[in-house]
Amino acid sequence: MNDLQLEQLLRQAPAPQPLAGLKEQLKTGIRLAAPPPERIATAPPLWRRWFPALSFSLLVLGCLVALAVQTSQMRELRRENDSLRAATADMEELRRDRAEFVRLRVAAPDLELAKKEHNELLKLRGEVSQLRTAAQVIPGLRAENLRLQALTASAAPAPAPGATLRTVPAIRFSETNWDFGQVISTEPQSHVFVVANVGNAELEILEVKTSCGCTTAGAWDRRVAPGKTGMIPIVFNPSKFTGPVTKVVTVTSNDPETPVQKLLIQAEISRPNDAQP
Amino acid sequence: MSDPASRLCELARNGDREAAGELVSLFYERLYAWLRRLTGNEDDAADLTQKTFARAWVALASWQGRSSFSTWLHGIGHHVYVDWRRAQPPAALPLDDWWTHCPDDAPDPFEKAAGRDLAERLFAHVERLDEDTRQTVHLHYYQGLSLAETAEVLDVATSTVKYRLRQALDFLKTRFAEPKTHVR
Repeated sequence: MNDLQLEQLLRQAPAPQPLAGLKEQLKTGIRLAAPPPERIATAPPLWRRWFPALSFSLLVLGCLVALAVQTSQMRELRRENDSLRAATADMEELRRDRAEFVRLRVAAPDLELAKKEHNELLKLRGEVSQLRTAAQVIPGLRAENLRLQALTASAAPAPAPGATLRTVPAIRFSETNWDFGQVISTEPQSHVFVVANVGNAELEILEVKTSCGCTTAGAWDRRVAPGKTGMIPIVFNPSKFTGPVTKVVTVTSNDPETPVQKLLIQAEISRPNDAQP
Repeated sequence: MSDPASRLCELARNGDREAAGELVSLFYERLYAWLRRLTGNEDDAADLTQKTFARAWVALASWQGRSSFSTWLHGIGHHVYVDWRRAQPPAALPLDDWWTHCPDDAPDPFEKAAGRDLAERLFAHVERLDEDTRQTVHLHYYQGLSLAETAEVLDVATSTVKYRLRQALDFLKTRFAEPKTHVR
């Protein structure tokens, strides 16, 4: 027997008949539930009807705000990025500047010291120039001093009657020692010795002799009246010397007490390339 | 909702007792016959038929017309039957020859004695199937439900229904391949 035959037989199965009265029992037992109440069609409130549209609008608005904020931030970041890129382009130059700055910073202590020394030097130079100015006045003062001494001597009281009057010249120098100080060998130095006659007879300066060819005496005053002063110019050429030098100028006169007077000149000589700035 | 049963059902939902009575007239015989075959006795079949309709009236408000009223009613009957069967002790489940209580004027295969004998053997073998397969055969072949309707009533997949029917047919074929023996 195949499937088809089996299925045909099964489909033709007889149906048992119900008991009599079952139909009536079933109809009697019908208990229908009350019909469902009709729904009252009430319109939803206004906000509820518009809620979907409102929520969607709010969502779109929120998205737009977020988009605007992000766009603004992106623009700012882009600008910052551009500036950083521009700064990076000058990086090589900045590195060089920094290296120079570091080098200068290391050399700064030496520079400060040099500045201090330079300032000190400028100050000293100023003082030297002031002293030189003052020194130029000194010979005049000395000469004035001598003149005053000579006037004092000539105005001395006359000797007592009967006393023998002796007339003699008396030689006096404003200074017997002159220091030129530090001089450069290429610059000749000159000085004028002031001589005064403090005696009461005329003073005769017979000879001015130098100890070296480097020192020469100019045209000196050969006669000096009592109470007067004269001048003996001296020129010193230091071109052949280095370091401390002392030269002697010998003055011979008719002063019976000091017929020979030695005058000293001194100098500290340096070569031009040794000279300080 | 164009078939008469659906229209009657809609009226009954609105409290029309006459429509409900019409539904009883339309379906009580078929429902009773199904439960009679399953339960094995007339009294229980009548009782379960009443319970099935009682539950149907209560649940009528929830019927949404997704399936036919017949299928829906069979689904309720299936649950009523399962509840009843669980309440019965296994020894108290008689398997009577329900086909012997049917009228003799039935059409084929009862016209000929040989055919009648063959059908009786077949029905007897069906009652020896396991319970799930037996219910599936009853719904699909005896009650004439489609595969989908059978699956809906039993609350299983259509493929499960097909599988069970295939098992049943194979079992029955093996029985009829054996030399002819009296089943009982």
